[in-house]
Amino acid sequence: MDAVVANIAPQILFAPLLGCLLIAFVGPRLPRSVSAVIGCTSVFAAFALTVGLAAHVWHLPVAAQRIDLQFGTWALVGQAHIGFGIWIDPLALTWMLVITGVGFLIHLYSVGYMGHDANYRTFFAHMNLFVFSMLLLVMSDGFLWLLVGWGGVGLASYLLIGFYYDRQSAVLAARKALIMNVIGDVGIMIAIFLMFAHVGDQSFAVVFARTGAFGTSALDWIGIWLLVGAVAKSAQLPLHTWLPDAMEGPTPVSALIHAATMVTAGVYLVARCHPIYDRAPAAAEAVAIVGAASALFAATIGCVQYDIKRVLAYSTMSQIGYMFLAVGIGAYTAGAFHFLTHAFFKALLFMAAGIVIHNLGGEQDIRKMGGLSKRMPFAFWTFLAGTLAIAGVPPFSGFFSKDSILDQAAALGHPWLFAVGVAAAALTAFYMFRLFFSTFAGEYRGSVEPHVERVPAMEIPVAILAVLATIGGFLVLPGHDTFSALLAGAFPDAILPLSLADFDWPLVLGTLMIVAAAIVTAYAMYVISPQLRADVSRRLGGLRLLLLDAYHVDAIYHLMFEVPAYALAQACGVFFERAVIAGVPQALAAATSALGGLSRGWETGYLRRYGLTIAIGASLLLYFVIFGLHDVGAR
Amino acid sequence: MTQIAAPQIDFGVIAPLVALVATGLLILLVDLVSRRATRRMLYSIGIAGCIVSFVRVVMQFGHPATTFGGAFATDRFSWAFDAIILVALAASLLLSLVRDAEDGASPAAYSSLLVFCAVGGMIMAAATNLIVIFLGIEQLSLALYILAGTGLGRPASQEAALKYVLLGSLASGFLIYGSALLYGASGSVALTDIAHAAASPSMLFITGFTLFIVGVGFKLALAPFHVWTPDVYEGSPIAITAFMAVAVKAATFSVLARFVYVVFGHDVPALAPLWAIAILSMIVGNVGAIAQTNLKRLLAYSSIAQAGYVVLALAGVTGSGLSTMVFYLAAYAFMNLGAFAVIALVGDGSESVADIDSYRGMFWRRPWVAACMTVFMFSLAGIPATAGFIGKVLLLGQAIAAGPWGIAMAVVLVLGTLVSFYVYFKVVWAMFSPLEDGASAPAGNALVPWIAVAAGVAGVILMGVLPQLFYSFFAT
Repeated sequence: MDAVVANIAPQILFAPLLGCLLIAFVGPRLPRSVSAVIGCTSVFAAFALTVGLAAHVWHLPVAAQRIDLQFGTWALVGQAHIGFGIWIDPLALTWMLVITGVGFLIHLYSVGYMGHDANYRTFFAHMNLFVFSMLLLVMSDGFLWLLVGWGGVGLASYLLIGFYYDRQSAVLAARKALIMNVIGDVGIMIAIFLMFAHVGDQSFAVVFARTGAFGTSALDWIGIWLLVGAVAKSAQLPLHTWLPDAMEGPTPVSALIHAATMVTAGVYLVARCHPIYDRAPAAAEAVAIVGAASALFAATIGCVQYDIKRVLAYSTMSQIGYMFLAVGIGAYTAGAFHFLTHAFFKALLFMAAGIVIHNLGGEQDIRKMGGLSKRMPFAFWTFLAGTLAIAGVPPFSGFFSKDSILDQAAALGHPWLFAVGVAAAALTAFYMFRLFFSTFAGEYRGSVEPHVERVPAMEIPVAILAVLATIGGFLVLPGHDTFSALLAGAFPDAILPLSLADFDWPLVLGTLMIVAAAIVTAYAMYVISPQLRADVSRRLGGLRLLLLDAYHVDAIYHLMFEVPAYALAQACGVFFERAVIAGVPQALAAATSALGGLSRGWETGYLRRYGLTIAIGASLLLYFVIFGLHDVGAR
Repeated sequence: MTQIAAPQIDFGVIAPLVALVATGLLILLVDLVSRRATRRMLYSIGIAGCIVSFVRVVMQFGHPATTFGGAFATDRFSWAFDAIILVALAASLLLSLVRDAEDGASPAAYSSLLVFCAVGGMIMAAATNLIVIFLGIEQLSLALYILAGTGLGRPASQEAALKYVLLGSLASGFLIYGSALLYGASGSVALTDIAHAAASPSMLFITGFTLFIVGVGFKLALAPFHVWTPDVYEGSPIAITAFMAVAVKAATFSVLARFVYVVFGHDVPALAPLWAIAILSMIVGNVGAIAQTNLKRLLAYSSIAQAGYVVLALAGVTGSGLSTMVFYLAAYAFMNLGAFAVIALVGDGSESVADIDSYRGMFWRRPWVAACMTVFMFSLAGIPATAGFIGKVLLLGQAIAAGPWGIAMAVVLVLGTLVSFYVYFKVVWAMFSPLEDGASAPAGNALVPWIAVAAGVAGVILMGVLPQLFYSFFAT
């Protein structure tokens, strides 16, 4: 056991939990600012320790970078052994760095953003709980503790979406998210049951080493059930409907949980399970197809939405679709790389949007914005950096990661996935610039003059993320593929270089042209000519309404699931409730009064009656043994 | 000239018992010689003796031994039960420390009787022949009959004591008659000798065993021999009820388990009466609890059902059954002692606040009390992350592997658990329902019962989250 890792790793995991408990139990007796300090400090401590740990692990030889720490046995019942363990490898480290690093920045941002909220302490306690659960998810050395973290982030997400619990819509959104996520939890549970059924274990080490013992069909089923979990957590088709509604939560929550970290847990799961997906082609293909479909699906919806956070939510779904596409075709490093850059630019976009929303007194409708570039130059510049990054404009980070994915889709022989990816990239560029121009260009269309308040606690993290979103892509440069080298330890047999030198440049340039065209279109429609925009809207007609309602998925699910469920409940209420729940006691009551004296008289409390009961019981038992068991007993 | 050979007595083996007996005598002596001996002092002596005895038990770990010519055996099995009994004794003494626990009975008599009661339980845990078993049971019972009546101010307590002693004598009659028949069938009182007769059981043997089961079933409150339970649990002082529910049950189960494992060693048809009364108990206990409005009565019915659950551990008579039984009884000890400690806490050591109605809205006034009680109720119902859940999982695993009777018991356990959700959640629901205007939460808030409550919560959660810690102690 590596002593350095064994000492540091648990501290990383438990620092945020300690923070959460301190805020929850000690916080109420201290000034509210102390809670914020505890919240930020604990996450920062975890981040600093993670950096140290990462430096240590990445100095080890590649073959030694996968460290499985065993701390003891949690349960040993029959054949099933479940340990406590931490699994550190470059993949886990990548996620840990983002969870704690970006997590810390967002905690810092929250100090300003949530400054006026009455439930300030609760907020930080929940955020720390989230960071702890998320770390548990990525540091676990087996599927069971992964599932515990998986459920924990679901809980934290539920609590934080419903943070404004006096708002009906927030409570409903939280409930929706929880239900969708639990569907995914059940998927993972079934996958774990299958693992136990085949190899009798749930630890990564055993399951991955014995993938040969499963058979392709079983591996495919495990892959599919894991995908169900991944799809629910990562808001991919068809379990995506909770994510747009989750924007009811405070903006820092959207940035941390519903953009940078939790929703990418599905990507982590698939990448972590690459030994399974490598040998389960059907399941892997399903991952890629779900990803590509979600990328395109969400991008189309993003083109017509008016709520700034909802557009960003759909863009998150779309970008995670890219990551699914990447890990589905086996390009794990490309998927992880896009996760990294996406965490930077999407957190940036949410937090810059949060500044806008904060200054506009909670306004989120882009039709009531416009012309904010002069009024909020800081938000303008940082949001621009994020927009360029997500649209894939070089040299911003999104270009490198997204084009790595597209390039590998083409190189690995998936022309259809490539085509869908390019189409989604074009739509992304269009809707993001539509959002950008609507917010910052032209004239201010709101009724209330914005009250611009510059809060350093909010601007510093945004500025840092803007820098990262701009330069983050340089981890992959021609001839210097740093990122793949870093991840080599996690995918010893499945590494695909990302180096730009291997890029298929004609394809990349073609994609760039399409993206440029999309940006120009957005400029034409939202800056130059409102007339053009009106024409296009009219032409689209019904399609626009379809997109505006997100393909009516909510309504369809309502008809498919809620209506029958309510009908069943109604039916139960009428038949079951009246006939059984009410009927049986009535029948019993009738029987009781019919038996009258005997029944009521029996429980008299008189001693003789008790003695009689015992005597009758003993007699019956004896009768039973002597006449019933005589033959069997005598044998 | 006849020589009387005195048996060799190894005092190391009986040291935990000697410590407890000495404690009981010391309490009586101190009370006799010192006028200034306060209740607090006498009870503290009891708790100290409890700790000494516990340490002596721990010192025996790893060194199984027998003494009194093999009639008294200490082994992994007896240590586990000794630990449960001593924990129950300590908890019971702690709960008695609060005001007016003994309602005017002499504190010295009360606390020394409690200690002697535990001595009886520990004799039972180590007994390997019918006479020592009977001795242990009577030692335990006689002290308990008196203790049940120590609520001198309440007629219910007197009634409980009278009912308990009369019905208990009846049950002892069954037990001693059954033992006599077993002796007649096998020619010996030692369990190992009786095992020879069990290989080809005669009618005499089977009848004797069934009567033995009746006697034991009475102590365990297995239906239909449970009739005394609600009245006695409700009438006895709260600390005594807690002790009855935990220590008496654990001690009697140790007798039953040792008997079944030593005498039969494997599943036999003659055990059918035991399975039958377990099924009946799960039904009677859970259904009977539905209508209860008094927490002590509710817990009495609950203990009837739980006793039925524990019998599942014996299903199949396999090696893992003993560890399962010990695990469940330890879990049962924590959650029951905890629940009784909450009642004692809010009632300042009495049963004045035992109506479920008085817990209405508890959460809004006394969130910690409500939270702890919720933990105990969850555990009794068998919700995950509590000891009760793991215990039930183990019991189900044991029963399902044990043939038709086992499967029948497992099915009844699951159905009974469903019913019991209503019972336990009724309490939780009351605590979390809105506070009625003008209603005030019970004020009791003494430190001592808090210790018992906190220990209960810790035990329930720890066993629910880290079951291996407890399970491996007995299994390895």
